[in-house]
Amino acid sequence: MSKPEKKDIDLLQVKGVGKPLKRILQWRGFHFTFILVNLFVFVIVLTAGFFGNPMGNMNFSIAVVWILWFAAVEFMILFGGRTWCTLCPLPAFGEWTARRKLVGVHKQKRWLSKDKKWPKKLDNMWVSALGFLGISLILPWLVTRPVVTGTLFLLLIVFGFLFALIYSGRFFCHSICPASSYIGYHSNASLFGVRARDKSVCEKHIAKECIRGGPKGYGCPWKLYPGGHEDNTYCGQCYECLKSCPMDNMTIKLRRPSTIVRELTNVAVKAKGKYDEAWMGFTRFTLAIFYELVFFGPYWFLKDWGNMGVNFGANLPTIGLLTPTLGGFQNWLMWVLIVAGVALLAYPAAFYGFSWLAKKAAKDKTKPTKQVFLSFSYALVPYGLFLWLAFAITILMVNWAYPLTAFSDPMGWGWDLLGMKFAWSPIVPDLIPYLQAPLFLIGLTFAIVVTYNIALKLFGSHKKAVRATTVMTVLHVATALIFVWIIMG
Amino acid sequence: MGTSKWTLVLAILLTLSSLSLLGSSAEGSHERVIVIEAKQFTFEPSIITVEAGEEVIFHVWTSDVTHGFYIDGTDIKEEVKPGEIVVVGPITFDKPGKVKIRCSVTCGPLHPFMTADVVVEPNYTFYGFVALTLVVAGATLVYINRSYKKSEEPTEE
Ligand code: SF4
Ligand SMILES: [Cu+2]
Repeated sequence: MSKPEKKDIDLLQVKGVGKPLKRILQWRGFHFTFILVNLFVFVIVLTAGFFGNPMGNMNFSIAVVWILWFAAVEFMILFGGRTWCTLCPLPAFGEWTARRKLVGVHKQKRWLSKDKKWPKKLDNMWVSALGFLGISLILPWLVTRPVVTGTLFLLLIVFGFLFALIYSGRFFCHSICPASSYIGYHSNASLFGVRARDKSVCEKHIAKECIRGGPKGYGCPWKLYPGGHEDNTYCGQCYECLKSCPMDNMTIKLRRPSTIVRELTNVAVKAKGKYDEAWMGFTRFTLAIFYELVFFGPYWFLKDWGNMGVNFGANLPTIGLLTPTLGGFQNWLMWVLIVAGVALLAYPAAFYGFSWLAKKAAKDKTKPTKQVFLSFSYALVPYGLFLWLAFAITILMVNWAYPLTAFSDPMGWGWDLLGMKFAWSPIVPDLIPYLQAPLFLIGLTFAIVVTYNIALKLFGSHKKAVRATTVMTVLHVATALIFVWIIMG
Repeated sequence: MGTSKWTLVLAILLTLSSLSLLGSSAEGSHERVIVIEAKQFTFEPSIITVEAGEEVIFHVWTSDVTHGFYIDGTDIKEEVKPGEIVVVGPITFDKPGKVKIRCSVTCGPLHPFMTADVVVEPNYTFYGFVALTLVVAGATLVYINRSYKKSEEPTEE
């Protein structure tokens, strides 16, 4: 493993691709243009969500958001990190207002915003991760009822706007948005990364426009030091640093698997007290498995409990139909107990138990179990991502026709604007498990390799690391087998 | 909606049809009749176990709205309207493993998740996947062990 290290690909220096891409990314209109297009899509989501067909799969807000986007984001993470955050229109109103500019760079210190410093307590992903869990608890409603989706997005836009008026930069994105935490968390397993070309250039460069901003670009709105990037968690890929850096030192790296493992290992080993990220990992990992069971499994009571026993779709005028019966609500509480219990307690407890055993097996006395537990949890960065990819494949292969048709008939009123109406017909549905298998097996392999590398750094000895990794592998295999049972058993 | 009346009529019809089929099966064919109730948003039974090579006929009916009856990996995609019994098959499930039945008609909000499982036994595919998972994990551990021995230092940066 200590062979001469192969370099990652500097995407902006790749012949034929690099130059045009760099020009696009450095063009100030780039961000704005993409967001504008996406904003148009969001207007459709909101309109369809509130007033379109109450039946989810016939409504743009559900079909495009929860079939296409939900699945596509997982693939975006793998190949493009937080590319979604580059395109996301939720914080746009706030950012434009605060900057008083749509495209150009405004002189600093004249923000139309209180421009407050970020509260230290929220400088983590707790709010975002719990928001994600909260959304997960109402997921059977969210992904089937247009009005619920419409309301969620409206709230996100309003909060995105308000937070931008109070705090400087992308505080909302960094700490609040419920999608942010999981996208950022898993981006650490992405092939993609915004990095400095040469760190030594940054070290010597005192002006650091990437932090403070310059004539061509704002300082990092996520309050990072882009030149020092070694992970992807909070890099929103807004490419301001690519514009502001006068030394032309910022670029996009396509990371080799070995780099991903190395950088992720460093994140894991340094993670002191980052329970927020650990619990993000547990939540995402368990939910990938749980959702496969709930949504595509044969157990009706699980769907029914999550659905509060309500049989109606709903838009704004028919929202009253969503009133559950008392029994339905009680069942949903059971569902909440199951989901939150597994994600927040049972699996983390098992993980802690195995971490403790791993430490015992390694015969290590230097590192507290707490640290071993936290560090090892980062194996779920790739593992969880690949399980979600496996889940996303099912959604896409089975239900691709709904979102495509929704582009032609966004309200679900029988229009055919683009001449694109597709009958529901799954693509090779009998082969889906065979497509899922390589995905979760890659995830499992990744998890084992990452665990080993973390253990090596924690315990400093190969023998100890292998012993600890073997113990953790038992847990990772056990969860893989649960997934196998769900899709094949 | 008068659901219960329909249910009663259908139940009688189904019993009769199954009985007649039982009679005919005595003459040499080995089709198994499986009665399936489609309802918002599941099938009853939702887990069906068959032997590999077994011939199956599904009698599908709905106790509420119109549903669809789609079987993965086949051309079968039927509409099941209230008051009808749709006869599907005979189908022979040759490949061991799990086959999904899905609803193909938008029948309500949870329609995309209206599924049932046909488990074709003996489920070698499942055992194969279990074995594969164990092999991959084992091989990764062996690889980690070996790759270290070739080099001298741990991957300290
Ligand atoms: S990225 Fe550019 S602006 Fe930032 S420290 Fe490095 S050289 Fe300076
Ligand atoms: Cu149905």
